[in-house]
Amino acid sequence: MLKAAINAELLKDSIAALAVIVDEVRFKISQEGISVKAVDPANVAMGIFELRAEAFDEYNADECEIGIDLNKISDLLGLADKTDTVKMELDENSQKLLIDVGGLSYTLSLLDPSTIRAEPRVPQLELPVKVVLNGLDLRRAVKASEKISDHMLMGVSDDTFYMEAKGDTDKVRLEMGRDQLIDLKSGDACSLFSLDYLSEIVKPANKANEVTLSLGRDFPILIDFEIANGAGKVSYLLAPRIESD
Amino acid sequence: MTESIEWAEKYRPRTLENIVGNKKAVQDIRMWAEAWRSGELPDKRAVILHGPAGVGKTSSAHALARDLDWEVIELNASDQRTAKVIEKIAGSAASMNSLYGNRRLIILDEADNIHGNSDRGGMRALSGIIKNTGQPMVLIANDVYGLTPTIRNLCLEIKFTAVQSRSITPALRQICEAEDLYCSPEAVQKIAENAGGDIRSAVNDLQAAASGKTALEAEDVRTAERDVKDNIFKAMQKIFKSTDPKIALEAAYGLDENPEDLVQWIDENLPQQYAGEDLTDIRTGYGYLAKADLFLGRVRKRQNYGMWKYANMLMVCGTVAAKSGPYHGFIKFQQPSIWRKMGQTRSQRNMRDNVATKIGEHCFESMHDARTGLMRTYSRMARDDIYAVDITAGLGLELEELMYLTGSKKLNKKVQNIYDSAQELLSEKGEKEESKFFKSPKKDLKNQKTPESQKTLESLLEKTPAMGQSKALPVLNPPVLNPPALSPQVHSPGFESIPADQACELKKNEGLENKSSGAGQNNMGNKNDRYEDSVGVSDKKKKNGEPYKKSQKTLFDF
Repeated sequence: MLKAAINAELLKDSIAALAVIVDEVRFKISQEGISVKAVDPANVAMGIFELRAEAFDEYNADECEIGIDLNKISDLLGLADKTDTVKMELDENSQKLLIDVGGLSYTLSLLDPSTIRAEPRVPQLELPVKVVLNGLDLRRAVKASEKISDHMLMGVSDDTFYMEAKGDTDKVRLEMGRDQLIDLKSGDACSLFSLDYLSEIVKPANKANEVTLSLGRDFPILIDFEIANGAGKVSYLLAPRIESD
Repeated sequence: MTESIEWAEKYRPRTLENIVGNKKAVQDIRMWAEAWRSGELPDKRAVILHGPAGVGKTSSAHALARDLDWEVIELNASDQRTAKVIEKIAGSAASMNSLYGNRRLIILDEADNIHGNSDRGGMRALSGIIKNTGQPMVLIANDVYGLTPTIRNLCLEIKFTAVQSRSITPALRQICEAEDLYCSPEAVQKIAENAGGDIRSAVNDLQAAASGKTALEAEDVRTAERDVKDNIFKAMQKIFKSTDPKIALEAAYGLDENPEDLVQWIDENLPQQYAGEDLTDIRTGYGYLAKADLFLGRVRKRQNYGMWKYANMLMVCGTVAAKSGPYHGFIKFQQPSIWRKMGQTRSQRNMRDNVATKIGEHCFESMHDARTGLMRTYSRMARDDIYAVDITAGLGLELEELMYLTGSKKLNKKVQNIYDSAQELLSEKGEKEESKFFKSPKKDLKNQKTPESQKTLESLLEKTPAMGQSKALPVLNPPVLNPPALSPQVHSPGFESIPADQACELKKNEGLENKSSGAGQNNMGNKNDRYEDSVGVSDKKKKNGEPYKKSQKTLFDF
């Protein structure tokens, strides 16, 4: 059972954050809220998503699992105004989700959850370095790197967090000292990441004031940020590139 | 039904240990994987596992990953495999480390099937990925030559072969044990032999034979025998030697030939196989074959392929039934000679059709009718010195076509002379004016908007406003469409250019032409009738304010 109402923009952002990883997803619904864990088809990026009941204007649910085609729902939310309220109700018998947006009511056919990849196991990683920065700064560095390369180095040395991209001929580098960062737990970290994935991931992070990056040496990166004024949380795990030379 | 899972899936080997047969291949895979484990990038970063279906290629790849605790990314034929998708998934997987810190095995199943429109550019993307991969990759293919040479050079090729039936038997016995199924040794043996080295089909056959049973004997297996694709010679053997129509028919069904080809095979071999003093068998056999051919013709015409089964039955069972007694001894079966002949005569047949088209145009006949009927007359005329030049000029024949029509095998003086005079005649006419007689009458009519092909929408649409205004116009006297009659006067200039001794021939033709044009006119009139009618009706409807039916409004109401 699920009956909920939520701000349209918030839902839209949440869906967009998930759509980065996969097209079809299993929503795990419980009394506390909605959670999703998904890994992309290449097993390279993982998304962990949580939206607690407080984020909703109205929330009433029993434990259940539903399968949703994210493209469909984000198309549908594209028609909603920022201030609209989206009302959702699950019809468990017919496996359909009734969605009401600004007077338009949709009946969305759900996917059979068993046809969607099972929730992945979340790896236990020990990441020595933590960097907290503004989402906008991260986005800017990624955008600059995109212009010259398809991968980007992230690391920390001597209390300075740096992001660097090297193209065939050009190079771009953004350094941020402790004073420019919100927080820094220094250590030895330096890993190379694919910008194909990173640029998609930083899009939803853009709106967050505080984005936490956890790094290691040639280790996956963990990118955390809060949504819905702290009532929700998004984490991404991205595997590092294999340095070919 | 309790067996919702296929046994072939359920008992798929989980470790390399359990792979049946192909020891050498499995050993090679292990060695290659060890090279990856050593940390250094091996020389060949990918392997191609190739071999027939059902011998354990995919199972080996997955078993390897399980043995070494590698995670698996698989792209198989059911996924869309365009360059974009391959780059996105296999490319990302190959260039990035695993989230869990172990290696990741990238399996491309049915890699020889990455082609065609849907997978455009897939092969090239793949070779790019293999070149730079940082993770082990396995390509699986039935046909190693279905992969590009670039890819083959980058990969280590490991060949899988058909599994021997004595290796299949123990595997089947294990499954029987696990499924709590009694299976007699003969039954197991039989299944293993039937599978032809394909262990997956052996397991499938076992499951099929065992469904709903707790014990399996050799007789049970019989019903579950696998269709093995017969070759044509085996089938011919059964058709011509056996006396049981059922056996022959089954052989024919097992064939990968359509009845249209099969009938040629039987046709070719029937006289040799049933040769003897008495020709009754051959006669009866051909009787059935002719009946089968009727059905084949009907299938062609009506595109109702359901009737193939009658053709099949008649040709196969008929041939079997035509035997008055068994025929002993072996006579080699011949390939249908008609295929070879058709190939040899292709250029000649094309020539024939070209000539027939020209004659057809000249006589308002289809190419087919010209070929089967009129061509003979024209050929006779072309061989007559009196008409030859005019025929050649009139039809606009090329030299080769003239040779074909006159039946001359070699180019001789006579033919050359005819052709030259015809060319002269043509250029002469071209200077003054074209011979009205031999100018293609079709063109003539075209200018006057009378031939059927011109009575199209255009002419109707053009005239519609006028029709609408003068509704009361006499039906048989349409103002514009009246085709100028093809009276002899129109053609009179043609007379002068034709020798007097052809006058008689001309008269005949003239008569013909008049007749045909007359018919055309009549036809025209009828069409006009109908046309006027429909305009009248719709006009009426308009006045009455009746809504028209959409279907009637189409052309005429605008």
